[in-house]
Amino acid sequence: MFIVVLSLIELEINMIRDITIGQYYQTESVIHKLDSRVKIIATLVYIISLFCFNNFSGYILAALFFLCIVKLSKVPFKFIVKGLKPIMFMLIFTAALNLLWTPGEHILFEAGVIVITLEGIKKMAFMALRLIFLIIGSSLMTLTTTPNQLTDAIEHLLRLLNYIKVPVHEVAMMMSIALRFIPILIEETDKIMKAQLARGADFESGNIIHRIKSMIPILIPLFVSAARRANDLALAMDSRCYHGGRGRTKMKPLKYKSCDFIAYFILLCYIVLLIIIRKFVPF
Amino acid sequence: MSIIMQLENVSYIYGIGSGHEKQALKNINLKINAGEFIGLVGHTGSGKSTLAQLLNGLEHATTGEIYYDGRNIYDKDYDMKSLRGNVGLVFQYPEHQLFEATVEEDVQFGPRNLGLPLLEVELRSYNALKMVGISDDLIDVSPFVLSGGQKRRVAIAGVLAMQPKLLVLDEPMAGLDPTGREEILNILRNLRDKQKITIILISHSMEDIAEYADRVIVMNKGEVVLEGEPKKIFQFEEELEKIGLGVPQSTKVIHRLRKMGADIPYSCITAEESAGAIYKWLQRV
Amino acid sequence: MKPFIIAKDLVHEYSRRDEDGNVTDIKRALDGIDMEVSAGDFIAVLGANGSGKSTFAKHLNALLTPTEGTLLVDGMDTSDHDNDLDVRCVAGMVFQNPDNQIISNVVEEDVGFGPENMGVPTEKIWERVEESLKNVGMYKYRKMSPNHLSGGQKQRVAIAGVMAMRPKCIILDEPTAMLDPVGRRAVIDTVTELNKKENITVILITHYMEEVTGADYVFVMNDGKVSMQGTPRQIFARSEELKEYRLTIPEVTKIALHLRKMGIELPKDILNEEELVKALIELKNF
Repeated sequence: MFIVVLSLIELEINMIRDITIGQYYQTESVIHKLDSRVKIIATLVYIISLFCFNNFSGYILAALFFLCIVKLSKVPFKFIVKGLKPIMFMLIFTAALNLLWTPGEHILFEAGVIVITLEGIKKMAFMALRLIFLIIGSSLMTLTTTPNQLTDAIEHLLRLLNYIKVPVHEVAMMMSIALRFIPILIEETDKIMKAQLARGADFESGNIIHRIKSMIPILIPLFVSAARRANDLALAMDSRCYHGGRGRTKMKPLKYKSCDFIAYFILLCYIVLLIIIRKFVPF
Repeated sequence: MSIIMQLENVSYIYGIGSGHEKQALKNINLKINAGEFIGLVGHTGSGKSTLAQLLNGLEHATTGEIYYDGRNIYDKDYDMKSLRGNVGLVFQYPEHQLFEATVEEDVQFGPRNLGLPLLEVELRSYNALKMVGISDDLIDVSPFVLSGGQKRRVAIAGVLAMQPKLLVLDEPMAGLDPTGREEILNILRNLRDKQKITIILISHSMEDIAEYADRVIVMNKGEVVLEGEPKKIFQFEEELEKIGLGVPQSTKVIHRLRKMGADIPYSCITAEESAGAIYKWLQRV
Repeated sequence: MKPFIIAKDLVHEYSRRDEDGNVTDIKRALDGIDMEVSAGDFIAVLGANGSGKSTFAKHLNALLTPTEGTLLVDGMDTSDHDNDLDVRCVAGMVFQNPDNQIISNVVEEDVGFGPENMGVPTEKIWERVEESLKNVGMYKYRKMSPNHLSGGQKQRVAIAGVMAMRPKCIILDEPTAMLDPVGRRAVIDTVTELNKKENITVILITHYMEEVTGADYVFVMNDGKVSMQGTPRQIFARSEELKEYRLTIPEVTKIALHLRKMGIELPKDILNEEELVKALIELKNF
C-alpha cells in the first residue's frame, strides 16, 4: 500500500512537470479576460455535453466549438495537446478495452477470445473522443485562468454551501495556498533527496521492504519542513490581520462584464444546438 | 602536493529538451590540491552550488571530464558510491535533513550506507561528533530538540562520519550568530589541519574567506573569473563589486588609504594584518 | 510625548506538557524586559541564536502574549486579545523566511492580502498596493509569481505587504538571515528609507553587526534579558561584553581596536570605513 502511495507521489511529481492542467498561459485574449465563473460553468457544460452526444455530428459540433475558443484564446494549439501526453496510456488502455470486449452483431474480426465488432469500434471512438475533449477542454480553462481566479470563482459559485455550514472561504484559501506551495515542496523534496544521496542513501536497489525503508530519510525531513512552513505561514497570516472570511474585502472582486453575458449567450446557443443534434440528426 | 580533484572543460546545462535550457556552468577547468582550504565565492545563481553537486556525482556534467584521485569518475566501471564516501557534500541548512530518533543514529546513517561493520560505524560516528564538538550527553537525545547551532553541527558530523577526503560545504554558517559562525569555521580549520581533509567552502562572507582560505575561486555566470590567493584576489575590488561581490572591510580601508596616498601594501585582508600594516605606516615619518 | 512601545517587566515562559497535559518543563524565554521605543526611531535588537529576541518580536505583534508584565504598543495592551487586530495594524511584522510569509501566487495580490483582511474598499486597496510596491522598488514585478523572485526581492514584497496596511511601525525578525549580501543590502536600504521618508518606526532584529550601525538605538539581548543598550557607538565600544553574548563588532571597529591596543590614539567608537580612514589621515598629518 505504502509503496503504491509513494510511486503515486513520484508519478505525480513527474506529471506535474509536463501536465498542462493547472498551468497558466499568460497572454491577452478575450477568453483570458472572461470572468472565471463563466469559464468554470462553460467547462462543466461542455464536459456534460460530451457525454450527451450519441452520434458523430455531435462530436463535430464539440470539435468546432472547441477550435473556435482555442482560436480566440490565442493559446498555441500544441500547448493544449501537450495536456494529453500524461493520459496517453489510460486513453489507449480504455480504447483497447472497449474495442475488444464490446459485444455486438456486426462481427468484423474474430480470433479466440478477441472479438472486434462494429459496435465496439463505435464505442471506442466515442470513448476516446470524450476523454480527449474532456482533458483538452479543462486544460484550456486552466491555461486561461490563474489559480487565484479559479479559487475565487469556486468560492463564489459554492457560496450557497455556507448556509449549511460548509467553510467555503477557508477551503478556497487552502486551495490557493496549496497551489503556491506545491512547487516549493517539490523543490524541497529534490534537495532532501540529493542530501541523503550525498550521505550514501540508495533509493533504487533492493526489494520492496528495503525501498520503503529507504524513503523514510526523505519523508521525515519533508514532513518536518512542511509542518514548519505551515506554522510560519499561519503566523504570517495572523500577523497580517487574517481572521477568516468575515468582514474581508476583495482586491479583485468578481464582476460580470458585457462580454461575460455574451459568453453565456453563446453557451446557451451551444446547448440548443446540442439538443437539436441529439433529437433530429440521425448520425 | 598531489591533486585530489581535477575538472577539465566541464559544462553543465539545465533542463535539456525542456525548451528553456540554461547553461549553469561554462567550460570550467580547476585543480584542487589535497589539503587545501578553498573559498568558493559568487553571486546567487553563479553556478557554485551546481559545481558542488558535480564534485560528488549528484549531477552529471553535460560535457567535460572530472577526475578524482587521478581516475575519471565518468568511466563506466567507476564506483559512484565510493566517490560519495570520499567527497562529502554539506548542503545549505543541512539540519533540515535530520530524520533519525537520536543524534547518534542520524550520524550513523552515512557510514551504515557504506556497508561498514557495526563497530566501525559506531566508531566513525562517535569520532565525527567529537570533531564538531557535540558533547556525550547529547548523543542519545533527539536531534529535533537541539539548538539551531547544535543541529547544524550534528548534520555536518553526519557527513564527516563517512570520512571524506574532500569536504564541500554550501554556506554552512548561514543564519548562525557570530560565535556560531566562528565555531563552524574553526571546526573546518581543524579538519583541514588535523584530519588533513581538503575543504571547499562556499560563502558570501569575504571576511571569513580572507581569514580562513588558502585560495579563492570566484565564479560569475557559470564561469571561473578569478582564481588565486585571497591576498591577490581581493586587490580586484572593482571587478568583484561589479559581479555583486565585495572585498573584506579591512581591504576596503586599505584601498581607501592607498587612494589617499598612503603607502601600505595591498596584501592586508584581515583586521589584524591591516592594523599591523597601518601601525607601521603611522610610525614611519 | 508618550513612547510608542513600552515594555515593563515582560516575562514569557514556554511550557512543555506531557500526554496528560501536566507541565513537565518550563523555559523562560523572556525574563523581565524593560524597554521604551519612541515613535519614528530606528531601533536594532541584537542577540545570539536563542537569546529570546524572536520571542520578543512576536510579542510586539500580539502573536504571543506576556506571561507576566505588560507590553503597550501605541497605547494598547497586547495582553487583551480584543486588541490583537488593532495592534497588528499599527505594528506590522516581516519574518525571516521569505518563502513562508508570501501567501499569494501573484506579487500584487500578496501585497493586497493585509488590506483585504482589514476590510479596505477595493479601489483603496489598489492605491495602497501600488504605493507600497513603488516604495520598496518592486512595482515592475507586480504581476509576477513570487517563485520567480530572488530572496531579497521576496523580502521587499513582504515589506510592501506590511506597508500596505499603513502601519506606524515595522518589526523585522531577522529579515536578512537567509539572503545573500546583495539582497541583504537592498532590504536594509529599503527599511532605512521607509524610516527616513515615511517616518515609520523600525525595529530590526538581527545578528549582523553591519546592519546595526545606522540605527538610532541598540538593545542587546542575552538569555531573555536586555543586557546592554545604547547608541551603536556606545555598544560597539564594548567589544569584550559583546563577545560574551556570542556577538562581535564590525571589522572596521576591530581594526581600530587592534590599533588602540598598539597604542595608537584612535576614538573608541569608530563605525565605518570613512570614519576610520578620516581619523587615520588626521593622525598621520598631525
